[in-house]
Amino acid sequence: MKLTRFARIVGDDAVCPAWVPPVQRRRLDPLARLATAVVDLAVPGGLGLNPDTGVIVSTSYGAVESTHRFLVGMAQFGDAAASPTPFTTSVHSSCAGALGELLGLHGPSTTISQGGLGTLSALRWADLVLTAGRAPAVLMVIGDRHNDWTRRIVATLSGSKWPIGDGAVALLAEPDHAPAPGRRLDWSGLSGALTLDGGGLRTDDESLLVTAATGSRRLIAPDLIGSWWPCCLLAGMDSAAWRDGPDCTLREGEGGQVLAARIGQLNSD
Amino acid sequence: MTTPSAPTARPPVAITGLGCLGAAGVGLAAQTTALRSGACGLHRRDDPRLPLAATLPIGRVDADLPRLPGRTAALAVVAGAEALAGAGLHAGNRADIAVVIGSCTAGMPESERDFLDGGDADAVWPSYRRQQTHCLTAMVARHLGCGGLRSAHSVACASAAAALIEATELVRSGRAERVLAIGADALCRLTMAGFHSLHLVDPAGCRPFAGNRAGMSLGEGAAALVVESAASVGRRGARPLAWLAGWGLRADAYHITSPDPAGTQLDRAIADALSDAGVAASSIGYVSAHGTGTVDNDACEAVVIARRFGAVPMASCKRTYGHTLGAAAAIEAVACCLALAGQEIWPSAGAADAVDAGNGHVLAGPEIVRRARPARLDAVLSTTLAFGGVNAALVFTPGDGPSPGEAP
Repeated sequence: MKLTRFARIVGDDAVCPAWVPPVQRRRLDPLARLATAVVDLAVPGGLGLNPDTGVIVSTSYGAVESTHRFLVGMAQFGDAAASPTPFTTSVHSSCAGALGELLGLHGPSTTISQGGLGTLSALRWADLVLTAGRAPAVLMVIGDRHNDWTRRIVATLSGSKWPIGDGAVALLAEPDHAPAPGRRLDWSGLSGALTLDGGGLRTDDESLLVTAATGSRRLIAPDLIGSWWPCCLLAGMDSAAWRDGPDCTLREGEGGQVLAARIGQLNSD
Repeated sequence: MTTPSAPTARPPVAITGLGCLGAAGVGLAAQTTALRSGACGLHRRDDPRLPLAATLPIGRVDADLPRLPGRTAALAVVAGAEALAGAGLHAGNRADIAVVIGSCTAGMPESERDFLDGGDADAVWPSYRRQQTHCLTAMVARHLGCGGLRSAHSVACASAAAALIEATELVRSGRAERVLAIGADALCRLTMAGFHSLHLVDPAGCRPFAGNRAGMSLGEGAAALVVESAASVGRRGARPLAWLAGWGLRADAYHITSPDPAGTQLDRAIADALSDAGVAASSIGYVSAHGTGTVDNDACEAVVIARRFGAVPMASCKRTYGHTLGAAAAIEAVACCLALAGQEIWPSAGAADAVDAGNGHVLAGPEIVRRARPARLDAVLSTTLAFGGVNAALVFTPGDGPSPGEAP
């Protein structure tokens, strides 16, 4: 398969695109707002997406704002009087559901929680779905969106060098024979000019990540400091790096598991 | 871009091990007994861990569980261990076994306890971190000694269906030869309060497909299936208990909580599963329906099943287990495999109660099974509907192994 669309958003100030109805804008969990925003950058307006396109959202923490709001409501008013609104959007798969509903996508939809393996696990699922012939394309959103509660929890982790951050990447995967230009994914070729090591990206210097992504040296995410996005291995690339960067080995690891794949240059094998 | 045509038949994957626990009890023999009798596993409880259970019946697991940091993990380990043992994959022979888990709540029972007990951030952090579904998978895989790749799906009530689908495709694609697919969820306050807030819980206990149904009942449990390639089965000399022959997974794109009443994408998921399996609709001898007991879910399912299959025997086991959310599709997959192995169909608990009460009627269309009976089953279908508009369908066909669900 190949990756034909790419976009990233770094930070927590994503704005819902105009095609999201006002009522939805208000109701969506911030993670889903972030997802709609990054999808809009990758596929403006969702235009051209086949209705049979599949959706996968890879997020470790899910809809933390809604979950927190619902728990606070339970604590304040009791279990029998909690508000249903944050409950419906607290479900881990609510973001994928919202994307499908807003974009009219009926293909296979799932949500995974894979921690530091979040990017390559999403790519693996997309590859399985495309190989099985179940969708003409798979729209992927990989990211996490925290709130003050989770930031405070993580910040208390003794000696932590892993302050968390927000961000998301959107990708569109299509079969190799699709006409759109893309970066081809190869699960066996691990000889990319650049290696992106994941399991968490940390940086307070965006330019460092971009330089690394467009250059030919190895980038080891844990050497960087600043923010931690459990799922956003590819957030190190901006659109220029995506368009012009060299072939690249993606590698993620967590808990003794390592996944790796190579993505070629745009339009190349 | 082209729209994919219906999938063509692809090789089935073998099911060589099963494990299950829930309100019906622990182990396959207990499941068979409960499924056969159509027992109601729902009870009100005085449980400080679950305040709403005092008024809303639930399906709780009453068993000693392994001491693990999370109840969901403990449930998953019990089911997984039974499935692996049944498949003849004993400790020391599991290094390449992949684990794919579907769970809706994962570590929430512990995380919510620490939060609602007013714990500070230091206290909440460990449980909050474990709440993530991939941490559940890692814990279960480590405990069972499974060293292959790991994956975790959280797709609300379709979580285990997604796990089974990934397990199938991992085997079909050659990425794994053996996958332990598990669905697991423990009861927690958040889901009880949430479904109660949506007025979706029946205080009398769920009555799937009954005319006077008034909502769902929650439950907890886990089920595990060893999914294996035919080549691996042959090399090991194992005997398939059943085959997972085909799957479908489609999204309504309709509403975050309500199914599309027309059931268009549920029907498409079923069509995809049948095509994938190379099985004609007329070969389906039994439908294990999602059948939660909510007005909308059961109406949608009944309409779709009737349209495609006519008066096919259909049942829901939600009154036996409660709605176990992320575990449901795995428990129902085990029920399908047991039905195939025993060539027997299970009753739909709760439907008969409603008719006997004289104030309802059963939805027209499929035959809602009232009593267990022998049947020739060439293929069975399991359907699942989930929040977010996800519809899943799985087709199972008989294996040639001995029935694993009978008490010795």
